[in-house]
Amino acid sequence: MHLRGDRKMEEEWTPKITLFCCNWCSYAGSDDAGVGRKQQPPTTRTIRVMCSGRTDPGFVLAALLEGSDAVLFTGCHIGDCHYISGNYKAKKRFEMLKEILDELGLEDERLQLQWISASEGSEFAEYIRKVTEEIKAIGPSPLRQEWMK
Amino acid sequence: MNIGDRVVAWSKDEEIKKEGASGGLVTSLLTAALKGELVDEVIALQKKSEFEGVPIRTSDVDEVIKCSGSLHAAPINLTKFAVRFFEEHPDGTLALPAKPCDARGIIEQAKRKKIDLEKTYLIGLNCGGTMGPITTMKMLEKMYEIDPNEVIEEEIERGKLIFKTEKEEKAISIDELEEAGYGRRENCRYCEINIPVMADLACGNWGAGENETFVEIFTEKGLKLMNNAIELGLIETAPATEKGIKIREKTNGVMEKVAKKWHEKIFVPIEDRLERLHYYMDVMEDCIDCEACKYVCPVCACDESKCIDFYDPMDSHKISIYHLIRLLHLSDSCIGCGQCTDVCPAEIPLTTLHRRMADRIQTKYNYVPGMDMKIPPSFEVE
Amino acid sequence: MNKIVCPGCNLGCGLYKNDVLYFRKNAPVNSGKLCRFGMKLHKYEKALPMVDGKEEKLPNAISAASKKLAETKEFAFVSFGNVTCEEQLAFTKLASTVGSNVYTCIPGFVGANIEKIRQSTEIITFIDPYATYPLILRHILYAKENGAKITSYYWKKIRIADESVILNPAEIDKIKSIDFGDSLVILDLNPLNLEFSNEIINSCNRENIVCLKPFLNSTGASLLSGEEKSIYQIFEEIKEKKIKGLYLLESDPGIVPDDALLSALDNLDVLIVQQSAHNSLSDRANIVLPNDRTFEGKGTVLNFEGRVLETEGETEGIEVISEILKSGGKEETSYDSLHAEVLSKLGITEIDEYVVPEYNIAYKPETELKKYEGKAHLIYVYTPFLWNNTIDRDFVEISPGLAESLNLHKDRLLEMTSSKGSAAVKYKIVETVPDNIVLSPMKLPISTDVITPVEFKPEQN
Repeated sequence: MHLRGDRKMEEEWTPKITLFCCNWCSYAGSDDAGVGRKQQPPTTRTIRVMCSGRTDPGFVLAALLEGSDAVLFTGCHIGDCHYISGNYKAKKRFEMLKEILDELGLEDERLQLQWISASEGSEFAEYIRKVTEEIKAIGPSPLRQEWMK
Repeated sequence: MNIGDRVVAWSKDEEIKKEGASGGLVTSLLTAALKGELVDEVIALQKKSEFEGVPIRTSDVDEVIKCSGSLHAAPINLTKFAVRFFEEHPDGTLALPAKPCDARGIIEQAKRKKIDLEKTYLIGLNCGGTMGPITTMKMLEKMYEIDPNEVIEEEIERGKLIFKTEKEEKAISIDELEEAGYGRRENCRYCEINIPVMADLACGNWGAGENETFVEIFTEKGLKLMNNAIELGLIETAPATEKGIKIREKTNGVMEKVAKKWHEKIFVPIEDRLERLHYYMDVMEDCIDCEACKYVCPVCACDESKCIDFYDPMDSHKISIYHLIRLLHLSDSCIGCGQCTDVCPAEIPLTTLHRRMADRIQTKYNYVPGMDMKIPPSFEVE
Repeated sequence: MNKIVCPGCNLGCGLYKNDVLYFRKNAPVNSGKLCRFGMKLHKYEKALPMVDGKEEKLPNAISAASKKLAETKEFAFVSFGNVTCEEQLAFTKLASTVGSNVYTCIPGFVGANIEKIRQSTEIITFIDPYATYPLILRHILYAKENGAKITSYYWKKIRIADESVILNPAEIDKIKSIDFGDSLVILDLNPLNLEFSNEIINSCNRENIVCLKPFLNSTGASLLSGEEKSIYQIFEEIKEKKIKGLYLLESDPGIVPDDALLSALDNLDVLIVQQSAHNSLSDRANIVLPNDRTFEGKGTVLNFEGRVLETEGETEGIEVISEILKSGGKEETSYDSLHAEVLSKLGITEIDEYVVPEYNIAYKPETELKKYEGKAHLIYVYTPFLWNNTIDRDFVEISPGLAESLNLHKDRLLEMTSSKGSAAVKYKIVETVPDNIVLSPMKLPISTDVITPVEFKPEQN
C-alpha cells in the first residue's frame, strides 16, 4: 500500500500527524474538542482503538514509514483505564519504542505520549496545536518518500 | 561433591581421553548420561573436518564418542536443535554441550515455553569465541602459510591460536590476527560472558593441567551428571588446586577486559541524528528478504510473527519494517550470538545493529537475557 | 542431514537439508548463506509414474517408455541441467542408443570465478544481483569495499553500482558500442535471451567474463552433452515435424515467456517427461517417470565457475534410466561407473570443493541482436523462482512517474496491453525504474518474449 497524496502541488507543507485514540477517554476528549468548536489545525488523522494497550508498535512504525510526520499515543490516565491495565502496557511499549526510535535517529518530537481524559477537550486541542507547531518547526519526517505527496 | 564445587576431571577411557578436548570429560558426561538413562538423547557436534561440524541428535553412545574434540571454526548455535527435540518429544529429556550463547538461547526459549529447562542438562563449555570457517581457511593461507587441508589440530591457549599439521605447529596471538581482520567472529570479540554460569556445569581448560577439564558445578542437575558418570566408572575427579582456580579467574578477567575494549572499538556512538538515521537506512538497504536472520535467531520463538505479518514487499518504505520490528522485539532479549550476521547474504552487520538497540534497552531495564528465568522487560507490565 | 547444492540457480550454494534446512558455513561459494529461494526449498507433489494419463506401476511405465523410444524416429532429448552429472551422463547414454544427443539449450562455456570478482577493480554487470543470482551480491560488495568501481547496464538503476546506465529496449543496439576495457563483466547465459549475452561475450575479453547460469547443474550438463540447439529451435523443429518424440529430463519448457509456443508440444507423437514434481507439464505428457527431487539427487554438480561440488542423496533417476536401457536390450549402468566416467570426461582426478579447475573453452557464438519496437516494455526479471517455474512475488515494479501519469491509486491494478492481450497486475513503486519500463518477476500471459512491447490505458478519473 502506498499513500497517494493530493494531486495539487502544495507549496507549503502541512504536517501529517497520526493519532491513536483509545475508545473511552481520549477519543471522547478529542470529540469534546470538536464539539466545543475549539480551534484545531486539520493535520491529524485519528485511529480509534478500543484501548491504548491495543496500539501495536508495529502500527506506529507503519504509520511513520507510510509518511506520517509524527505519531501520538493517547489514552486514559494511569489508573483510569477502562480495561484496568491496558494503559500500563501502552506506556511500557511506548517507552521501549521511544528508545529504539531515538537510537535510530528519529527526532524526539515524532513520537509522543499523552494521557487525556474525556473532559479535557480544550487541553486536547491545545496539545494538538502545540504538537503541530513542534512538527512544523522540525520539518517533514526523513522517512517520507519524496513521491508521497 | 557439592553444588559450588570446583574440580578437575577426565575420562577413564584412554581413547576418549586422548581424542577428546582436555581429557574428554564432556564426551564422557554425554555418554554417561545416555548409559545411566538420565536422558533420552544428546546433541553432539560431528566433526567432518577442522572447519565443518554437523550437529547430531542421538541416543547411540558410539556416535557420541566419534564426536570428540573441540571445533573452534564451526560457529553453531544449538538452541533451535534443542527446541526441535522438545517439539518431537514433549516429555523427553536431553543433554547437550553448551557454550554460553547456546545456554542463554535455551534459557530464553524456556521462558517462552519452547523448552523444558528441568529436562535439559546443559553441560556448559567455557568459550573465548568461535571463528568463521571460510575466514579461518583464508587466515591459514595468508597469516600462517599453512594449507588448510593439512591441519590436524587447533587449540587456543593463553591468547594464542595454535594450528598443528603433521610437520609443524604455529601459534599467532589472537590480537594480531584480529587486527588483520581474521580471528574470531566480531560478536565473540566483545562478548563478556565466557564462563557459562547459567548452565548446570562449566567445563573448560582454564586452570586445568594436561588432559583434564576444570569443572564448576552450579546446580543439582550438574551434580547429578557428575555423580552419574563417576558411578558408571567413566570419569575420575580431583579437587581443583588453588593455583588452578586463580588462573581461571585471572584468564576470565583478562578476557572480559579485552571484550570491553572491543566493545568500545566497535560501538562508536554516532552523535548526529540525521547521520545516525542514514547509517541505519544505508546499512539495511541491501536486504534481499531471505528471512534467514529470523530462522537462525536463538531467541526468536514466534509461530506467527508480527515482523513477517506487517511486512509487505510491495511497500516502498525507506527502512524495512521487518527489521524495525525485530530490532524492537529483540531489544530486551538479544544475546549477541552472531548467528544473524553469519547467515545474512547481503552482509548486513545485524548483530551490531541489534546490540546497539539491546545495549540501550537492557541497560535501561537492568536486565541481562539468558542468565536465569527472570521475565524479559517487554513481557512485564509494571 | 544431507549435504546438498541449492537448485535455485547455477551458483552452487551449499547447505544441509533433510526435513529442516541448516547452514553449511564452510561451503565455498556462499559461506552457508542462502537467498529467498534457498530458504524456501519447496516440498511439492511428487510425480507418479503414468502412461497416457493413468497411474501405472513403475516397471510398466518404464517398458512403455522403452517401447516408444524403439518405435519412434526423430526423438529429441532435452535436459536443461537440473540433474547431477551422473544422471546427465546416463541420459546421454540413453539418447545415443537412438542416435541422438542431449540438448541443454545453454552453450558449454565456463567463465571467470568468484575470486576474480572479489579481486577486481572494475566491474560491469548486466544482471541485477539483488534479484537474479542473489548470492553473487556479497562478492561484488566485497570488491566494492576494496575500492572497485561498479557499473551496471540494466533496465533500472542498481543500488550497488557507482554508475548505472539504463538500457532502453528500443535502443538495445547501443550495447554494441560499450567499451569494456579491462573490466570484469558479469552476465548470464540463459536459454531465453542468448543473443543478448552472445553479443556481449563477443565484444569483450574472454578471460574477463563471469558467466552465470540458471539451473542447478547447467555447467556440468552442458560440458557433458555435445551438440547445442536453442529451446526456440526445438519448438520450431517440433512444429515442422522434424522432431516427433520428446524426452524431457527435469526440464520445463514452460519457462519460455510466450505460452503460445507450448502448443507445439501437441504436435508430438510422444512426450516422455521424467521429473520429480507433478505439474501441468506432467499432466500433458504421454509417459511420466518419477525422478529424485532436484535437491535430493546424489552425485556431482558443476557450478558456473566449473567448481566440482558433491551432493548427498538418492539415485532414483539413474535407476529409472538404467532400467529403460536394460528393457531396450542395451547395456545397463550404475551410479559408480557413471561417477567414474564423469570424472574422467571432465578431467578431474580429485574432488575438492575449494579448488576451481582450469577450463579453456572456446566460445565464439554467432550473434544477431533482437530488436524491440514500441515506447514502453514489460521485461522479465528472472529469479531462482522463475527458473524453477514458481511464483514468489506477484507484483511488478514501476516508476513513480508512470504511476502518476496513469493516475494509479492505492489498491488499483496496473493495466497493460500487448499484441497478445491485456493483463491487470499489482504493482510496487520503485524509484530506480525508468518511466517506460515494467519489471516483472512473474510470468504473465501477455508476454511475447523476455522483453514485450506494451501499452497502458490511463485510468479514467
